[in-house]
Amino acid sequence: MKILVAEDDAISRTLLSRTLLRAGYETIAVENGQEALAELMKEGAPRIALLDWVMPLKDGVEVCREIRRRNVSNYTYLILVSSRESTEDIVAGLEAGADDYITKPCNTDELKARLRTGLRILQLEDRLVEARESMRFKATHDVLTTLWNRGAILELLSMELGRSRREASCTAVMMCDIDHFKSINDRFGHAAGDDVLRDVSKRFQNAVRTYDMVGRYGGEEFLIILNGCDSQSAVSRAQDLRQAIGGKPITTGSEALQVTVSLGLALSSDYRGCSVEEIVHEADTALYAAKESGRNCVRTANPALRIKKDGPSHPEAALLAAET
Amino acid sequence: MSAEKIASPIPAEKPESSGKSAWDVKELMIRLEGDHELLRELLQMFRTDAETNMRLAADSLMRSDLETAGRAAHTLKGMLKNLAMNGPAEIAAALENAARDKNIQEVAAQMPLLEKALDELRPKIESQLTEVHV
Repeated sequence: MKILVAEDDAISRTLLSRTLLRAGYETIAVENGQEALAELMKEGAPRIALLDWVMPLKDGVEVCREIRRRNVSNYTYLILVSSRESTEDIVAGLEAGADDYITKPCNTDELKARLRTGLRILQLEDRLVEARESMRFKATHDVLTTLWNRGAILELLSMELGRSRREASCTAVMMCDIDHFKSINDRFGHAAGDDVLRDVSKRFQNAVRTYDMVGRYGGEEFLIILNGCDSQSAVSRAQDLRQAIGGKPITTGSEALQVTVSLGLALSSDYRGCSVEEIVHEADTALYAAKESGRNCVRTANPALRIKKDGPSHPEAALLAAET
Repeated sequence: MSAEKIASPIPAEKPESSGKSAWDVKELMIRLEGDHELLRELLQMFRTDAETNMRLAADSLMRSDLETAGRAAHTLKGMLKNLAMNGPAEIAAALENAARDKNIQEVAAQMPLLEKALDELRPKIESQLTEVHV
């Protein structure tokens, strides 16, 4: 564990640093509050800081206040070190954001014990952050495939559509479905079906750019969002995705399964002013057309045949989706 | 490691009339966990830093700059306390308080006392530096 020692007096600084070193800590020593703040703002900064109260440029209390105000992502345990020892001073230091207070000259055993307290607090903080991150991941990702889940991918789509509207660019929305997935489950079992879902997910993720998004929309349905795509490149990218699945069999257990996907594509530039649900519906209609056309192919939604959101379903209209 | 064992090569100072030992080497060696090399390093730092801050305090008083004088006294108090030079640390604290209270008479009264206390420490420091074998 790395500890920052901020102290303008060379004797106090050396004494503290050496005591910490002997106790098995790594130290970074600075001479004023400004340097302390700069060190604590760096990537991989020390998580514990011993700050002298009276220092040039910025005193220890100001450093505490600034650190708490900036709310750095990793909690920093701040201990004020000073010969000031009135109750008012201690209260002022703690209210500025210090976690603890120790008087100079530091008693070595007391200092070590207070550092152990700091370490316990930091470990607790780390465990809480880890738990929060894990919950956040679980809330937004699909357990089986680790792709974005339905709620998350729709939220991301809403943001992307907003962005493409602002930047007058185009977002390609693709609805993909594994062909004859039910028969894979029926013939080879659900474990094999899960293997197929995982492999298809992995292949989709490998086939898109890092800033594109892939989500599991439903059972064997995937929603893919590609940014900055015009109609030509979107079709070609959709064909690449189709090929990424159908181009090579998927191995599950001892079986090598020839799996294919159908894709329906809707371009945001064709549906300005439409809601997320409406564009997804258009991509879904195009997917239906792809299925009707024999599967393992891509179809693009035709804006001229847009079906009203609350209107009846017209599969025949979908059949007219553009062949791609 | 017991305190007696650590401090045995260095005799402790006799207490001053104020009740505080001018320099409690035994207390210091406990703080340094018996590290003689560190003692030497700190004393060498003290020789120069104490003089610099004492001069700064005296010069500031001449200019009636009590803020700077008080800051220098604060630094001196810190280093004296760290080195268990408790008697002189008390004088430095009185000087700092007087400067904070803007009591120039009291600052002027404490200044020579602190200078004298530091002067008295000097030969003891030199003797420690020659005695300490590293």
